[in-house]
Amino acid sequence: MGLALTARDEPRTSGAEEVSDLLVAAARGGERAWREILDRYAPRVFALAKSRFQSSELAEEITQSVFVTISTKLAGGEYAEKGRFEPWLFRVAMNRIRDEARRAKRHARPTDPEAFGGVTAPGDASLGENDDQLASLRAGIAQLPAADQEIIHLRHQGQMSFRQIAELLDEPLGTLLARHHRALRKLKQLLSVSTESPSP
Amino acid sequence: MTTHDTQHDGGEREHADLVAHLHELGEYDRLSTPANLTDRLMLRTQANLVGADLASGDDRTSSVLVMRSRGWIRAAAAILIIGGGAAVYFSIPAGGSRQPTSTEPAPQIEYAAAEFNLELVDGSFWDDALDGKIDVLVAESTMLGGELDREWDDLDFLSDEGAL
Repeated sequence: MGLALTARDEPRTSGAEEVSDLLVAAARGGERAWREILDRYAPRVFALAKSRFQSSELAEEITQSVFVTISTKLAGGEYAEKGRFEPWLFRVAMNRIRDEARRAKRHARPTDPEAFGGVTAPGDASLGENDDQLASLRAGIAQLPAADQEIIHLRHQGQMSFRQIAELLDEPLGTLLARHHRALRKLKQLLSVSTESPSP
Repeated sequence: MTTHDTQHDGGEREHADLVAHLHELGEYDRLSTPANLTDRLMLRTQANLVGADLASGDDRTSSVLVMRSRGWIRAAAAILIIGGGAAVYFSIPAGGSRQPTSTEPAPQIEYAAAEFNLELVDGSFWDDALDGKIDVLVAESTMLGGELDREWDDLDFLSDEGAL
């Protein structure tokens, strides 16, 4: 893939005051503010859900459900802005994703993890020449234990900081960092095994 | 690199290449957000709020719902909530003119109608409303004061705060 590693130990952070102002305005019914919130956060929630289920349709359904909850609570005054919007938003998102995962498990059909590799939803943009490598990466992630997948997705699709993830998962920061480290190591092993496997 | 360094960044420096690819995958997933997702989220969330307003109303049997709209989103949301049937939208100029100057639906309303497969029907503002032919009338809030309120005092009015 040949990408240079961008230096972003802590993923993008939005200006806290700006977000706070937007939330206050949105809670009062400000459509422009609410749209701005959606523009900022919906792609991250969508990516989180899509990475978990590999379905754009389901990811959008989950994203809609999450933001319906958020808007209802904002309008109802159930959320007091104290600079903790992102952890709250992603907690709602993770709960919704876990609910969906449990529901899917009840109706589960056996699926070969390899099958995830080539899945792209209709209308998805092409990955271009990186198709195979990113598909392999996706397949590798799908073989990780669910808890490890969750950390990887929150970090890289949700763009959350380690501190936020630790808070979300109710774990000490050190534990979370160690778990992420182990998840990366496992993923690397899985990918190297996959690369070494002879083609049929 | 010491163990502490590795722990500090969750192993991201040790596995820099892999992390770069994970960032790329994450970026791809975020960029693959469907077109118009924000528009649909606006509709869905506003519709939910309007629905809550409707549910809190005392009388939902009126064939005409006049809504104090703060914008096209709530207008589209009303169309979505009512669903089915014909919806009539009049573009009413701000300032409270008695007669609309245009019966052309706003582009956003056309989008909402297409999105939810609803039919938009033009009609004569006063006559059709009084004949009960209009399912949804969305008017700018400036239009819903004074004269209009008095003439339509037998109708259910819905404000942003709930049924009046």
